[in-house]
This record gives sequence, C-alpha cells and structure tokens, in this order.
Amino acid sequence: MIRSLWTAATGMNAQQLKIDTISNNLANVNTTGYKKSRVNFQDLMYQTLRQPGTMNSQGSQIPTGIQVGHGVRPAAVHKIFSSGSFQNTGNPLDIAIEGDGFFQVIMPDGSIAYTRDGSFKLDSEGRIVTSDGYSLEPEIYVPQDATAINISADGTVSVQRSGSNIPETIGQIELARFSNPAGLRSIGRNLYQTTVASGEALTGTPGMEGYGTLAQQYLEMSNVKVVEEMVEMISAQRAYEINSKAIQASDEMLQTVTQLRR
Amino acid sequence: MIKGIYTAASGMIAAEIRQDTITNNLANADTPGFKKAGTVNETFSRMLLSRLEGTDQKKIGYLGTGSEIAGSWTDFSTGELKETGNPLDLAIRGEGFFAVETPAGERYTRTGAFLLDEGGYLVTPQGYRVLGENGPVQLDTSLPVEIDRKGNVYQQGRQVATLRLVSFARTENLLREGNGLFAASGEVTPANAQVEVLSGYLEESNVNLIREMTEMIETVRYYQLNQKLISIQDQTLAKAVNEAGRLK
Repeated sequence: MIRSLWTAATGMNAQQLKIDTISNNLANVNTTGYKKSRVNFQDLMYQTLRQPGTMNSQGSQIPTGIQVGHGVRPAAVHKIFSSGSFQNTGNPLDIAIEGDGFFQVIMPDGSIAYTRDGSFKLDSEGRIVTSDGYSLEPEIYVPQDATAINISADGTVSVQRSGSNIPETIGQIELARFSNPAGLRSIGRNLYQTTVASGEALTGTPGMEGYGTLAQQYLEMSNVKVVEEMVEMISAQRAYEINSKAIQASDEMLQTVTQLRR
Repeated sequence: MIKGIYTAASGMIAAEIRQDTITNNLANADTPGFKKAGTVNETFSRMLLSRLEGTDQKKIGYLGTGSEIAGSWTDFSTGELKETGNPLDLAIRGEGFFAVETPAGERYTRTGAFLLDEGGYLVTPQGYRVLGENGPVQLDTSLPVEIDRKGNVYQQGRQVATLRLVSFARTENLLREGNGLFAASGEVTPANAQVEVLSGYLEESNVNLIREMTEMIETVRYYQLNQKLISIQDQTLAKAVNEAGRLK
C-alpha cells in the first residue's frame, strides 16, 4: 500500500512535467523559429517477486512470473524539429529556411550558437546581427549607401548601392546541419548549442545536398499547434486526477488497516 | 511494564518529528531559495534475549527496541526559476551560494532577493550586506544596475563590483540558520566557472508538493498504526493487571 502511494506520486510528478512542457509550448506559440518540446516517459524498475520460468515442485516450468512496477519517470524532453508556417513580413532582413539547417550566430564569448530565427537587424556598423545583437557567422557588413539588400535562395547577399545599377555581392550566408538536431541544447533566446549528443556542426551553402534554401522577407513561425497542445493538456490533467485518486484509494486502504482492531 | 508500549511510543515520537519537518517544508513551499529538509529514522540498539534454564543460558535472538530520528538532511537541488524582471533579483544556476556579512560572521544563501539600502549597499531583506570579491557591494543608488552571468555588477557600462560566489565540497556540513542563511563548518571554495548568476529571476522553493503530501499521508498512517499498537498493548496489560490472578 505504501508502494502504491509512491507509484501514484511518480505518476502525478510525471504529468506535472508534461503540463510544464505544454505550457511552455503554448507560451511560445508566436515565437519566431520556436520548436515545440515533447515529453517521453518510461516505466521505472520492477521488483521481481517470482522469476518467469522458474521450476515448480513437479519439475515443470511456470510460464509467467510476478513482477511489480514502481511507477513512471520522464525519459526525455526533446524538441520536434518539424517546420513551422511561413509568414511574409516584407522586411528585407527577415530570412526563413525552407528545409534543414540552422543560422550560425557568434556569442559574446566567441562560441557559435545556432538558430532558426531569421529576424535579423543591422547594428551601428552595418553588420547583420540578431535581435540580441549577436553577429551572424560569417560576419557580413552592409555599406551605408546601400539602397536595397537582396538575399538569394543560396545565401548570396548582395546590395544595390546608390549611383550604381549593378548589384554588389557583399557576403555569403552559410547554414549548419547536425546528425542529431534533437540532441542540441536550448539556451533560450531562440538559440541552440552543440552537445556531444548532437554531433559536430556541418556547414554548407543553402541549396546544397541536405541543406534548405533561404527565403528572404519571410519568417518561420513557431511549429506549435494549439489544438494538439490543448488535447495533450486535457489528457495530462485527467491522468493527474486519476493518479490522485489512486493515492486517495491507498490512503483509505491504509486507514482500514489501522481500524482493524478498534 | 510491557516493552511494546515504549517501542510503539518511540515510533510515534519519530513520526511527530517527521511531521514537523514536512509541515515546515509545506509552509515554505513558496519561499524563494528555500531548500527542503527530510529526516532519517534508525532503529534503537537491539536487545539480546536469552532464556535462563537453571545454570544453562540459551540465547534466543535479538529484539528490536524501537525507532528514533537519526538525523535530518537538506536537499540542495535547484528550485524552479521565476522571472520577476527586477535586476536586483538574482538566481544562481549551478552549485553556488551568495556570501553575506552578518554580525555573527559570514553566511551563505541561495535566496537572491536583494535590495539597495540608503547607503547604496546591496543587502538581503534582513539588512545583511552582500559580499563581493572586495568586501560589501556598494552601488550608486541613482544609476541603473546591471548584473551579468558571471556576477559582475555594472553601472552605466562601468564595472563596479563582482559578486562573491562560493561552493562547498560537502553540502551536508552546512547548518541551517533561518532567513535562508547557511553557516559553513567546512571548507569554503570559490564557485567554479560553470556557475551562472541570472539577473531578473528568483529561484523558487525546491519543495515538491506531491512528494510532501504523500510523505505526510504515510507519516500520518504510521502514527496511527503505532497509536493502535499502544492501545492494543494497553488492553493486554489491563488483562494482566486486572484479571490474571483474580480470585473468582
């Protein structure tokens, strides 16, 4: 009975984690480049009271055993990298990636972070930076007299300077790909960092084999589907309730034990 | 009298102390930086029983004599982070503590809800000064404050102090003093580079309500069972006292 108390408690804790993940997804339903998280559960260890296949007294094998489980625990909370919907913003520095790949961004300490959020801006020196001021890698400087910026599908950045009809190429955007994108570590601000599990970043030009192409003036929105999240939330809430009923039932059974002898 | 009554009573006393710990945890479920406590039971020493038959002593075996609280432990796992937006609300990510100066000496805390007093010193809500690498942190109250992830304090782009972050080799030796403060009895080492300070966030209590409630249910039933034991043994004793040897 005490075991069932703690088993049900693990169930409630697990559903709590699921609700936490769902509310984070819902909070980020309008975040550019956000990828929704999913929780995976697995059952905890079992106590074997009788091993399956033990011999009984007549010498024949018993086909089943007696094993009691101890509850559930979260196995993984990972990101689903499906594509979000594209929104036409008309902003020349908004870029969406159609397909696989991440933009590379230089962090203040020199390391590289990765993002799908393509809402870039220009800083005081004309360098293309993210909304937090982190520079794009490789660094691309837009000259002050540029009248139009054009980013082609293969990442070539060219500008139209005043007084000239010919567009001038000023840089090339490169994308990074990973063997296991779900293994990337989220550090917030729409940024990811590599880990041992994600593998090393493989850089390449957009349009190459395995890399997506760039779409200028579009932004990739969050891939969270509100209906899906609401259904998951209802399911998690009911599971939470049912587990609390299991705790109450165990408690009442314990009460019966204490009242066995008046 | 009957040994069993004292054995069961020891169980009830242990359950009471455990219940006190659990209610303290629950009362602090909303306190920023609170670290929950737990208790550990252990059995009293066993008694060796022997049977005396004339000159021949035969050992029967051991009899347990009850349970007592062996000690309490503090769970230093990190609580959830709550965003407050106040630049003086600091949360530590990783194994580290802030250092504060109290009249009783240097103390350590995880609660980062700091304020500025009239003198510009960074203080805890009780008024204890927060220590930086070069003594208590004193700031200009008219200028905005920015604190980066390494604990460096900037005012208008100029670095004015670095917060002192410490860690302990053995957190079991930390004594709880109330007000979120811990006293160290072992070695105090500077926190390693992994530790980060997040400005605008507070670390919430690490009390898990589900676990505490479940433990409370268990403790209450444990208390009830022991109480039943005392009551049953009392009835046995009543029989022995009132009816055995009655002339009727």
